[in-house]
Amino acid sequence: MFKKPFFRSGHKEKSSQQHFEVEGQRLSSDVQVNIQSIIQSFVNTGDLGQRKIDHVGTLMYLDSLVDQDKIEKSVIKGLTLSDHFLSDSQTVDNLDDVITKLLNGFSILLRDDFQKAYFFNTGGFTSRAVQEPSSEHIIRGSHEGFIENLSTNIQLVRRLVKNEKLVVKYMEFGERSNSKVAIIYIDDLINNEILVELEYRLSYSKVGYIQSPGYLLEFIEDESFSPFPQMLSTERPDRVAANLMEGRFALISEGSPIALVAPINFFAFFQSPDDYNSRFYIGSFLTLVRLMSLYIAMVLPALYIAVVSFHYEVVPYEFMLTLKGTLEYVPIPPIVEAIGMAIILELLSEAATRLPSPIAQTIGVVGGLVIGSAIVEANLVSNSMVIVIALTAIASYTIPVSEMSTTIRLLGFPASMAASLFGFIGIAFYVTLLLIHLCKLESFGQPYFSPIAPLKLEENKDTFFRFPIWTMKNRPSTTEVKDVRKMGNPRGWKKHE
Amino acid sequence: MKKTTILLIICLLILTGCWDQDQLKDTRLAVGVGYDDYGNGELYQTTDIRVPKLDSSATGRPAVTSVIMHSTGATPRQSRMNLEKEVAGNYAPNKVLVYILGEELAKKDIYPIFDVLYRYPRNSLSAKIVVANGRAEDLLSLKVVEEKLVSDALLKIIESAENDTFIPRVSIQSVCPIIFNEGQDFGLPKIGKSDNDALKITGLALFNGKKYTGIDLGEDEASILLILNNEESKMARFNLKVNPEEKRKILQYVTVHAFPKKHDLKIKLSNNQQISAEVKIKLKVHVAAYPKDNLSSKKELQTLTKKINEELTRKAEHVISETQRANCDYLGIGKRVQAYYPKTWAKLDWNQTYPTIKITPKIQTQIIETGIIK
Amino acid sequence: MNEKSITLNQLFFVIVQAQIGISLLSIPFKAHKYAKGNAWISVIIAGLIVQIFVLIIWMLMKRHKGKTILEISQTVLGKYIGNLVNFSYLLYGVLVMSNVVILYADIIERWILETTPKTVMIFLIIATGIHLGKQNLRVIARFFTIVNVLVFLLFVLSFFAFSNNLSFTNLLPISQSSFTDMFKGSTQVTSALLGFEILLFIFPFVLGQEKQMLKKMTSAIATVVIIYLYFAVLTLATFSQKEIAIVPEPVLYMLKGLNFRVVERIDMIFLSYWIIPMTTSFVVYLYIASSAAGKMFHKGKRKYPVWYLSILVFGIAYFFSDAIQIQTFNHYTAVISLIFIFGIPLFLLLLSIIFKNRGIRA
Repeated sequence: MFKKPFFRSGHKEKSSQQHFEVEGQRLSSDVQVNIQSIIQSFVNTGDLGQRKIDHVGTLMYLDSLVDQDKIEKSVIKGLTLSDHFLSDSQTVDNLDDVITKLLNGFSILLRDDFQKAYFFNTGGFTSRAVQEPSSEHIIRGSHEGFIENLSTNIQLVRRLVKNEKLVVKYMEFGERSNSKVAIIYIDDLINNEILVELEYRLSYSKVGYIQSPGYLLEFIEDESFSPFPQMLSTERPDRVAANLMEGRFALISEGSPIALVAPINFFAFFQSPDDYNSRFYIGSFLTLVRLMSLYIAMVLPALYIAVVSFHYEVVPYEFMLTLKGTLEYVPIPPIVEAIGMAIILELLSEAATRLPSPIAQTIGVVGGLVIGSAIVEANLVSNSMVIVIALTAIASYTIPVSEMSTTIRLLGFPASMAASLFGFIGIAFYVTLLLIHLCKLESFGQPYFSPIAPLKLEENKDTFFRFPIWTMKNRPSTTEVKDVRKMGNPRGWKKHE
Repeated sequence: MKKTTILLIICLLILTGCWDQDQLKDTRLAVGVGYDDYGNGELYQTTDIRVPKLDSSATGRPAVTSVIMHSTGATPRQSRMNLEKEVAGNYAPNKVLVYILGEELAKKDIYPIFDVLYRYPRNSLSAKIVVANGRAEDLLSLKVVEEKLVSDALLKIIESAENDTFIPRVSIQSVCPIIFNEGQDFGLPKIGKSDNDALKITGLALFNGKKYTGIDLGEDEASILLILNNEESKMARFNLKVNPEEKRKILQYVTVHAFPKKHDLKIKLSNNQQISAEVKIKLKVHVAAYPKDNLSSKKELQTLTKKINEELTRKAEHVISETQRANCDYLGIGKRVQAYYPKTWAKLDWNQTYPTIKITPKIQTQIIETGIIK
Repeated sequence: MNEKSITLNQLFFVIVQAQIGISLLSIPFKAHKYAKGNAWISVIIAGLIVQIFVLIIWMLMKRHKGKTILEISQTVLGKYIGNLVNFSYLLYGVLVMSNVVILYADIIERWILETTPKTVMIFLIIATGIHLGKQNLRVIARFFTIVNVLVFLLFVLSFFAFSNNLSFTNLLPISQSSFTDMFKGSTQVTSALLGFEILLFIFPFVLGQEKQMLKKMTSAIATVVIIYLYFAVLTLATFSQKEIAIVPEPVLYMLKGLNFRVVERIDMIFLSYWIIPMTTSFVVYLYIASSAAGKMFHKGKRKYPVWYLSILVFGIAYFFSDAIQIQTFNHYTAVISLIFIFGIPLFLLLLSIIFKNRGIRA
């Protein structure tokens, strides 16, 4: 039992040592030796292309990563037609860099008696077109979303923030995958301590392979066991840009359309770009509705359970009779009803997510009509419980960030449990514990539950209501930005009329 | 390790848990409770219980019906315990809509009956409380009144009467402070069976301390009393006999809707320690029906106002003499004496004093509307 | 010290929340025992008394900048006697903690969960308390700040009580109890105002000047006194004299009678949520006791004492079950606390004035 990991860790050490020896190996002056060592490094992979060009040298590239057209049109044409072509090209001089270049879709030109290698950008990646992210639909506002290509993603952000202080820092993670990750921030806004903290935390992220930014997120977030997401993951460039402007940073990695934004606070998960594109009454109303739905999604089933199994005297007489009527012939206790229905709901939504959309609609019909009505007619679950769970589901789906919405639904389970044990008291204890947890939670050293705890009244203009944009003249203080002032007096013209 | 402990604790809680669970579906809801005293020292309890109808399952919402059960015991709690033995399910009196006291029972100290309601936290303090004209059992035994189950019907009748200022808004909770207050008494609605086998509010039963005095006020009189005590809801309606000289009865009357405007109760202590009180009421009045005449001229309005004032003040005087006869300090004059003249209060026996003091009511009205015709 | 600093506003909320708790629900009841209808005057007197205590504490803390009472006691009295004083604060914290837990479990049992064993309730209360108590001061202050929403909620609910028949004549006449009775009543209210002694332990961690802090402290005390006064007047007007004498939680009882179209029995819903402010009172004393224990035994770290002190409290609370015991325990706790909020700070203040801050040895 215990030997295996021991052995494995030993093995790992060994291999990383080998890796280290290869590093820094300089190119030799013999072309054949260089070619052989490259081929060896790639372990005779089939897609390593070679092309001998007369009088010049050997061109090497990875078939799968390059665009043949580019090689023909720019490299070979240039080499054969222009004399200055080579002298204008860049070079690298060690094997490790050569490999990195090859892996990034560059072509390498090796020459006799020349200890360096030329490289040309011939990368030809196919990537999806920029389209609206399906998980973050909005009605009014930009419909652009990130894609799997890092440079496109950065381009999308830069187009929104045309500022020379926007800094992109590339880092590579994964000793075996060399995944490229970009840290984006605005230098004259972000607090240096946050950056230092980020880099310190990232310095520990030494793994073989970073499959998705989710890996990094789990490595660097503050509290791993907290149910709440401590970094905002979004596919929307406008959201990233807005957050950068408030002194936050974003992490985008190659191959994933997700940007991670931190330090974030709780209420950011309940805001949508929609809010800022519509009138402030509408924005406020919707924000309020979403925060209400937070409460509904978390404690409505629990409240219902507490009412029907502990404190039915809190509902008025007529309403209670109705409740009693629906419950009368249901054989199972409310907590089992609630958890059962909630699990059915999760099953339906999970099934609908995985299936192609035409079949997913069938799931809707099966779930909504068949299960919903049949289960009530069979007296397995009461009518009122079906309503409660349906409301819960709808409420949770109004939360704009799907991660948070699932979290909230998940948090409903212990709430129901507590309610079935102690009624209202149980719910209250549970809410207390959650509140304490939220007060304690920090995202990169910044309080997560701000601006409620610590309470900053003047910053609550965007928490429960969205005040008119021109009233929010300062950036939130929780990120401790260098430049607090956000705008002057955009409605100053009013005075001069 | 930490997680295992937490899990263990959670398991422990769940497995042993739910001490206080009281499933709604297992309850037998008592909605109307009547208490009678048949003179044998036992308390006779009549309970209106809501149960689902036998063959109404699988409809999603079973129909409910009412079952009337009887039980006896020395105390309300004991008779309840006796009842619990019979009831199939958990007997639940925490949603009782209305408590009915039999007339004979009410004439004794009523607080002992309510003690359990005040003491036990799950009881509903907002339940209505009425005195039956006769026996409480007879009212509840009607079972269905106007196609409504009896307790529901009773509640509706009480609520609509409250809105029309026929009876005060009384609940278990609101009675409690008055029961304990020496300087104030209360009245409870009195309800009896009508000729149509329906329920009817017959008036206001006046209490002295914790006992029913046996003296009732009629509906009109009760309204006046409520107005004198500044207790009216939105408005009160009166039929006033302003023209007794007319031969046809229909022409003698005016119907007015009165709205409160000003209420003023003043206590005076004369030099020889005589207490007197003056209640000044100002009302805004809409004339709803005046079959005799039209009211186009200012003069006619003034005469009518004067007549209304006289009639109302006369009625008020009568009402106050009734309360004094019953020794029911409904207006809380004693309370005020206690607050403003504590030394005098200490020397007084208020029960002896109240019937003897002089209370002058003065009701002034102002006609502000005569409907859509003059 | 591993505590982080808090702002002036947080200081305000911490003091308010430390004081408001279980005792708000029974505010006029205890005072009424002595002062009758003048219980509301007792509240005002108690406020003034407490203000004097706070002034003493402030003067003491001002003389010894950057030190908590635990360090001041050692500077002034020397290491050994100082430690004795610190240890007594530890005991005091444990005592009041137990008192809070007992009252708290008792009120829940009487009002909502009648048959749930008290042990379970005590366990839940202490577990929640530990969860907050083990955090640093900044987190505690953040939590205390948001809890004030509930006080606001109580205010909103209390407005509906105006639909009852209120008779403000119950407050009159002013002569219905002698001044000594009012004063006796105010000692009862003073115990409801307890909790501000946390000042002795958090003063050095507040960002701000002494004068501003005094202002905040005073306004916090004033706020609480006004809240208490409001509820005392409201409940005295709702209930008659004799009734209030038998209702230990008049505020809850008042809510019990309220009725809305969609919700009834507000008292139950409200009491459920009121456990949050009750937890804060517990945490205040957990903080006091664990700071004292941490200072003496763990080089200033509160991590371990939070756990073992809570277990100790669990043990103590377990033994007090019947109503009479609880009352006696509550009574003695109130008396003893006077020594700690008034006696010791005053003593230390006098000593530091006499010996000019240098302590007895010097």
